[in-house]
Amino acid sequence: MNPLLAIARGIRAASSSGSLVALGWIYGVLAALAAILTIVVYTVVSLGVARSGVAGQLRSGLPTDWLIDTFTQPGAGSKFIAILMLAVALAVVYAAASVALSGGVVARLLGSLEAGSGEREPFLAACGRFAGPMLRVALIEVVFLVVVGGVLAIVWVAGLAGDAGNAFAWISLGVLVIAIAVITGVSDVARVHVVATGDRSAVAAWRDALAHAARRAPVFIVVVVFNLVVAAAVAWIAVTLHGTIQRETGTGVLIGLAVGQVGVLGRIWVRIVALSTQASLRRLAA
Amino acid sequence: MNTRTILIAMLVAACCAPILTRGAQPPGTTATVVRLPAPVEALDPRPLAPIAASSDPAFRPKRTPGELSDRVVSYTMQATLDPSPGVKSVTGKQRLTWRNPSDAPVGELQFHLYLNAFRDRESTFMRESGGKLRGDIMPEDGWGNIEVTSMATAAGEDLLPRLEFIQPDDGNVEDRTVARVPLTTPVAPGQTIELDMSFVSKLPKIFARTGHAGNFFFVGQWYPKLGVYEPKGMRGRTDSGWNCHQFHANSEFYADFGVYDVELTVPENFTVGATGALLGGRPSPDGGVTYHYRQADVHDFAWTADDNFVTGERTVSIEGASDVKVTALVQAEHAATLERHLDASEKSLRWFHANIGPYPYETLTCVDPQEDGDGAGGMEYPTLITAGIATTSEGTLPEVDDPLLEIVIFHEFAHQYWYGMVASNEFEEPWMDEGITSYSEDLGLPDLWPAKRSAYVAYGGVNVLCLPFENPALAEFSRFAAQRSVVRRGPLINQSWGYKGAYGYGVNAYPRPAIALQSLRILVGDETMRRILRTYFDRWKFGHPTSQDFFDVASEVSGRDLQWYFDQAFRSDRLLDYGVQSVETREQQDTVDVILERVGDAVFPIDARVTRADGSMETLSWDGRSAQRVFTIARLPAVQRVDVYPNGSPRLDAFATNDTWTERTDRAGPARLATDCGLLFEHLTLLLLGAF
Ligand SMILES: [Zn+2]
Repeated sequence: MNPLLAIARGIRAASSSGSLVALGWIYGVLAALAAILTIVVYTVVSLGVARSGVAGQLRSGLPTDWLIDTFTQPGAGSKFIAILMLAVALAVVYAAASVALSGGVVARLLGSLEAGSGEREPFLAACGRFAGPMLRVALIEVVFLVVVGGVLAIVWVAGLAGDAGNAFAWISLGVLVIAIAVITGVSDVARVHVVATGDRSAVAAWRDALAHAARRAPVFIVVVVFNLVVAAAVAWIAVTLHGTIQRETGTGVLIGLAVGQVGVLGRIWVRIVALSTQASLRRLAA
Repeated sequence: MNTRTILIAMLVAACCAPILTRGAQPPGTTATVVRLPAPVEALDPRPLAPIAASSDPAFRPKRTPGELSDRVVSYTMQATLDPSPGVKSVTGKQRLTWRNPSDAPVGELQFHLYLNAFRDRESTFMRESGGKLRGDIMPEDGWGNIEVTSMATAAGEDLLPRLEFIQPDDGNVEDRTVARVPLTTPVAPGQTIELDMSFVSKLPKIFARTGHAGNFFFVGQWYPKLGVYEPKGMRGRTDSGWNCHQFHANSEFYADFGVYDVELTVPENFTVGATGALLGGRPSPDGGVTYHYRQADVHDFAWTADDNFVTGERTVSIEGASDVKVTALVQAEHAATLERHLDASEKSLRWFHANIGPYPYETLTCVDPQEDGDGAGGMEYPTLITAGIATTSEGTLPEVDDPLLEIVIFHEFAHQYWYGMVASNEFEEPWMDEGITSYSEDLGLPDLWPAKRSAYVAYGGVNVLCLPFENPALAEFSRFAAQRSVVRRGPLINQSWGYKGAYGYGVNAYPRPAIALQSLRILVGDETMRRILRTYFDRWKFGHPTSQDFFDVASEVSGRDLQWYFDQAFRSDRLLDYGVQSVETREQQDTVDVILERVGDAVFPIDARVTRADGSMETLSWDGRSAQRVFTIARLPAVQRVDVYPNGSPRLDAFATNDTWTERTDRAGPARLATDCGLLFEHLTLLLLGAF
């Protein structure tokens, strides 16, 4: 079986208009949450530097004076923790929303892969229909991640205690990243299984996905690594590109915001591509 | 001692520590302006920290032609290093010559036996430090000590039975870092006494400055060293007596000047570096090689030996000064940094020659300690300094963005002036060395090594990523030492063991005096400040001045009595904070009230600047004594900006945000920060929760 074919079809499916609707939904949720955080931070910071020249100094980054004044003020600690807690809460909301939306995303991808397969179900309706099984699939994924992460943490600590050196540190980091990517890949196949078969059992979906990954191990790994490399590259490009934007003026800040959001959109699309390539591979393997 | 780690640790601590509340802002409307015409002394009657008076003019440095210092004490020593495992000790003999500098007979001698700080857990050093210093931990199997094995006068009188340990500072009877010896015949005024002593110094594992790490030896504070006999009038003393403090966790040096003539015997394969000039080497009859060093007009002698050094040498010639032979002794695995060591030493020499005064010695040796011995790094001894690649790990990067190694070398070289030549008492007035050294960094570093980036992400011992954070000068961060949580803990001047913990010492010895001197520079101007520092060095080199002697020089050079400034900044816990309280338009009167406020309880004269819409400016001068001052000025052209410190902010001002007032709050700055936070949130969320 040709992994390139699976990848090519996956990318095509992820680019279809139906899938872009899914992309729009996920990005919309993340951007809305980020906007809440942005507005809160803007308000707090603006109040702190109201009518002070320090506000203008913030144009060039984080001025020392601002850092010292801000973090040595009474109540600074609790303000900072409150903002951090808000960010954590928003991230939890995103996690819940992305699980809830994943059924719709897979349905759209499968619809594109099986072009012309009848009438398209509304996006949110599909999301709702699969929300329960998708949550259970995600929980099993979390269990796997915790177990693998725990084992690697033990190996790591043991290695460090045994003075295993730099090579060990790098190799264990590599193993950890690949392990996470593989678990996510299997989990994606399980999601596809749920939508493709209508079987609402998450355990059955994971069993099927593991069997699929084992049977097609070489191709599966190629696709996983491809997705990993692309995701890392896009993330790096997004961050680097944003870093090159001069944000010393209002216009610069707006351009920075736009470029930053394009990068975020790109990262989410690459994530959908990863899901799509696994769906395509599963279909080819069937 | 080096600031970098200390400063960063303190910065983190300052930000994380429970933050004490800032003073309540006075009511914000002009209707309730409270004027406090009372003089500042009446505002705050708390007493100032007691300090030693100015030195009696009779104790200004004495200079005999051909000699730089008043040579009170001299040591002629022979020492042999035994590096073998389980021994790691130095066996030494010394003939000590001491002259009684007072006009009364002296009936006893007092010695430092510093190595006994590492004798056990009960020494004052270990009790105070808890076995931790500058991030290093005392290893369980690393104890060291010094034992005096014989002591006799030149006439042959055995003094050893009379040797007794004393604890002048804390009465801790377990502490053996100071000893006294009563003499049968007191030393008459102006007369000298000669003692022959032998001793065995068991070197500790390097934890605090001195000892061994593998085959690297740094031998400091290693011999029985005489304290300083201070006659009445010297350093403001009201009575004559020995100044010989115990070795504390946070105390460094104070000793008399003299001549050191030292022969060091080490195994053949060891390279040696030491205070002073190498006069020669010869094979030792007992095996090994004996190196002969000599240096006059210094107050200590330290040395290093290692079988892993590579050596670099350079002669630095500066017009109007004698040549200096600079030697770098660098660990073989750091050989690539030899030139960096030499370059940094040369640049430091040239900077100090141009800005403070000539370096009068013929040698300077710069040592790179073995990485396990980094507790010896970042230290100063006469003509001998240590840096350390281990403590400045970026130094191993081929591309050097962050000149940490150079910064440490500059810092330790600066000590050659303030610790080495001026030689203030670091036990009793620690700010005078580390503080003026830190201030020297503020002056010299921005031009010599403008730091670019300093935030690295390290993984597996490798710096993976250099984050694109511009590194503001460390000096800017030192403003945290002006915060209430630091200042209210007590005056800047204290005995080195009188502060609360390592943090209290660190912040009051390094950044707080540095910002107090920077603020003085804002007050008197750059040129006057330059002359103050040069005059202070020139007058007090080889002189053991007091804080008050520095203050006196500042007042004299600036032509104005600055005692009020020093009393506040150095001797009180007063907080400096001025700001623009508000700018209120009075439409009917066609005027604007600019209200400046003194938030803190320290007083500083203010020349605020008003900038109007047409670019015109005016200055509002205020003595700063009252709680507020209202300036009523014309309404038009519209006032756009008020700067409390238009000529540069004194870093002692605790809160910078209120130092300026702008008609409108800039939006782009906060927007940049907020949108960056939002984007960071998106990226982190995708990274951590990106899987659906
Ligand atoms: Zn220092």
